Amino acid sequence: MKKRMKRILAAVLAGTMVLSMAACGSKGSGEKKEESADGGKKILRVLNWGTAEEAQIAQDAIDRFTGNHSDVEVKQTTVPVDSWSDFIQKWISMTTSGETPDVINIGLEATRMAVENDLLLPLDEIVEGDEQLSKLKGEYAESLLNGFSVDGKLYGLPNGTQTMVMYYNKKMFDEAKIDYPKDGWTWDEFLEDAKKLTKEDGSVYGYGLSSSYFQLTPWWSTNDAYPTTDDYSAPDLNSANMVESVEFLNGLVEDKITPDPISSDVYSMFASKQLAMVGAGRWCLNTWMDAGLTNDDFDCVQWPVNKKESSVYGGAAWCISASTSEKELAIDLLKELVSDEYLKANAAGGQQVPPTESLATDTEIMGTTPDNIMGIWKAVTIAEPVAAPTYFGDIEQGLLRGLEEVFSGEKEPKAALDDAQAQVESAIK
Amino acid sequence: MNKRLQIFGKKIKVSHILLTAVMLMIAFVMIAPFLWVFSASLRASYSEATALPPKWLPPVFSEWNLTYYKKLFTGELPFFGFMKNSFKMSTVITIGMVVHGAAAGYAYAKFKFRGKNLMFGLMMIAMMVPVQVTIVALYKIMNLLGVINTSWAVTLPSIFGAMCPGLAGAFGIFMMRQFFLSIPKELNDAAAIDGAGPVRTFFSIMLPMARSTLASLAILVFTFSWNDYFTTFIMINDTDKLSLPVGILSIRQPYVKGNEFAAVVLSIVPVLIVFIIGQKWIVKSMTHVGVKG
Amino acid sequence: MCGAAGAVKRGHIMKKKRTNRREKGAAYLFTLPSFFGFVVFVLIPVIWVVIISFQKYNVFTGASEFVGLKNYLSILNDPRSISALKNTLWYTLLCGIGNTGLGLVLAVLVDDILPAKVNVFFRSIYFFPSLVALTFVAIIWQEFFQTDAGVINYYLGLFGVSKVGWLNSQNMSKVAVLILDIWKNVGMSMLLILAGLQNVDKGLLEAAQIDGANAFQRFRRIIVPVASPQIFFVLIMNITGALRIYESILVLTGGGPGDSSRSLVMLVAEKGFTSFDYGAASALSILLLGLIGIVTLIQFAGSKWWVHYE
Repeated sequence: MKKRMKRILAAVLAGTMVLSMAACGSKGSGEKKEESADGGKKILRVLNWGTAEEAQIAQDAIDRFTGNHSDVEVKQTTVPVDSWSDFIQKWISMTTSGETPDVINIGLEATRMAVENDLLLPLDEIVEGDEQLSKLKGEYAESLLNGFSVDGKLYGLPNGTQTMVMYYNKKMFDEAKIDYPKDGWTWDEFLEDAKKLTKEDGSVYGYGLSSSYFQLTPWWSTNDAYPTTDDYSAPDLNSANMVESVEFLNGLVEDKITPDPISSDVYSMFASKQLAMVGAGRWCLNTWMDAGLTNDDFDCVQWPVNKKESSVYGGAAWCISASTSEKELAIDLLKELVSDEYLKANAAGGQQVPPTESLATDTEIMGTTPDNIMGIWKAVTIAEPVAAPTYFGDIEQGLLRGLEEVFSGEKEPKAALDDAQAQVESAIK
Repeated sequence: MNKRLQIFGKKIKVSHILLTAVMLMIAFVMIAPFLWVFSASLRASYSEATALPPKWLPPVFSEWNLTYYKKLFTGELPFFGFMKNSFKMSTVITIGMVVHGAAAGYAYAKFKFRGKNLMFGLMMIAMMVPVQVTIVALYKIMNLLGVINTSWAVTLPSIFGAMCPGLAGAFGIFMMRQFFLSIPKELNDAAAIDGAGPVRTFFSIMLPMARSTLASLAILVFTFSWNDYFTTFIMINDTDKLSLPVGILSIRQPYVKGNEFAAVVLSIVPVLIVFIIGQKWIVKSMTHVGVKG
Repeated sequence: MCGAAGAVKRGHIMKKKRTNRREKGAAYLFTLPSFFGFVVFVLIPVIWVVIISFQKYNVFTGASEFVGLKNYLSILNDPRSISALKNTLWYTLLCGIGNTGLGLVLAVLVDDILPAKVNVFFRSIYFFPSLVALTFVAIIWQEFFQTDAGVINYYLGLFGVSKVGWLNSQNMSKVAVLILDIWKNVGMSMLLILAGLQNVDKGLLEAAQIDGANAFQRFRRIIVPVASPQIFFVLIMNITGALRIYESILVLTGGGPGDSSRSLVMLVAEKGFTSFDYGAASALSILLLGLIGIVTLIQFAGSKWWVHYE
């Protein structure tokens, strides 16, 4: 009996061995045939990013497009991105393999990098020659179009934007008998309020500092500082104003007005009433409402000001690949992807702020929570773009590393920023 | 040391009771994260989930908050599709690696042939290449083979240890070689005297002896490839072809810790089920006496 | 390699030429398929990496330009590489040896001291974390390691230990990674070593005990030598794994705060995927490869003294 089992086992193993070798040999060509057997149809590739929900909204627009173009097959790839580098990596690998995406949803953070490497098609002529697109262009916030323009040429049509305002918990302000903040309030007022709102026992912090690049930017822009020089050619991380901003933030950390900025999840903490104030855009609102926050619980206000009124904006735009072989089709698809229908659906998804004033100030789309929801669009109009030079990854990582060194007590703000500046300079030379 | 206590009519050594206590504590550390995350994923809010002292046990059933789970399943989540993909890819990788690992490992342990040291040395070095570096070249090769965006782009290089972290290079071969080295040479000699050729000796004598090592290798390979994230992320473009880890990341909503906890639980459940079913077999296969020294 | 050479020496002596030829045929039949796969999927990419390490390579266009040793020099002059190297050696020592050592201890504990059913229970539980994807369990551990609201600090607090900044202090971030890494991987080491312990002659152990050998002596003189091939395998696996440590760090600390927990592979990934500087990333990986090669050679050479086959 045992002997027989052994034989059977041996035979099975030998069989699988031969099979797997045969599979190795033949599969390559087999799969390839399948690809081309799709037959006659032209293929357009769309590279998108975001959640499954956002992918579905894009898919609906794509279906409308293929409804009018029955000879075209559109393949959408949606990448769940935690970082822009991941997205670019995916893009590069698709391009290298000959599956170059024709239409791409690109974040502001990656735009200059893509343009620098000739990956994108300038859209100015296309937009001017098309009625729908030129009308749309007129409705975009000027600042947003600037963000997707390099050297005066426009490379993307925005489908959504994101900004930062300061959210605050009304009940905590009431309890501490502090007036609600108003637009135009100052850093000093912010600090004073935050101190009063922080509870000794650690159950409530006055403010939740989130140590990520976009979320930190209002602290630079309201202090008239910017991580790069005006033409984006070099980092400018250790300017006097940047140092002042970091010193201010470090003060918040040292005084325990904010929970540990390196590992805390401030958005969850705000939802569960452990923070009195937190900076965010629109992307948290749905989550917070799901968690039970209502208009009575919280509201938002513009970012506190030190030297000038400002905020930050980022966003995403649909672009066309410079190497597309189906330019006309790609343009048609692009038009479907910035159609009113798509923009509305995307905005209704609740993550992004719609890119045009009419939609972003429409309470049907934006909802009515919190009371000052229209403040979000105001923030977009006064904001500066998130600093995204061609070397975005380097400056993002370099600055965050420097800040972590400050917040972990390893270095003084000035020294940390000097080092970060030197590291980014040497990385990009 | 040898004191005994009378418990339930059985004599038990005191030292064994102490040992069991220590082992139970270690066991708690090993499963604590899973208890915690299951409990946390059912809480109404983040502050409740993370409140101290930690809650290791889930709330009573009537208080379960299932909103996070419901959310993960809205929008026609192809959860089971992801699982099927993962299962398919991991199975192919496992079979492939066990088969060539056993064959080559045996040859490197028992045969004498020209180029043996060079080949084995090269493969050992390859065990150490971080996939993060070779991925671009690999991608180009997979593209030449025309398999990008198919499961072959993940399975082929993984079978030969090019990709999965932890599985790299000659992992399987090395493991099997270590086993066959421990088999006394007299056994081979005896087989040779009986007139069995090297191939027959391998299949009818050596492989059956290697059962437990083969089983452990298969388990290792399966779990490593089941959990691999990076390879699939790079090689597969279409959502419906993704593996479970990448798939779950694509449906979880950021900024919502509760959702993340629920996603973690969902990612663990399939592994847990497989483990509970196969547990006896998995662990027992290890205790089978492979060779007596 | 040295181990292989040793094996050849111990390999049996052929009696007939005919057998010899048949064996050679079988050897190539058995080794060439995997070697072919290795060449295509590993060796060629590595050669590509070597070539790129002497070039300035544009990933977007594929254009390249020969720059000689520039990439290597820039890496050797970068203080960040040195700090990543120090961290990597720290992980190698503590994760590599910690995983193997604790794995061995656990394996002995669950081998056959207690009744079989109890052993199977503990083996299963200790092994389970190895089966779960790190990406997901890291989300849990991040909560555990929180300074103020974390589970670990809560329990430490009960013993009067003041709050530890696991993820936000430069001193502790590596320790946090170590804890996660051992929790995740020690069960695997345990199970692999356990397979080796099955070869230990239980009668011999009893005899030794009767002769008055204490537990440590039995462990040192009988258990370790017999299970040495498996222990050696686990050690190699853990050490090379620790030299390439990446995922445990990425998901827990991202290399921070600052550079305090960043390993060499993390730096490779950053240069490749964030700065898109493939030349530098390739040069750094070649240096890393050299380091791993040396460490492995040392282990194979050292193994002659303590690893016993048969």
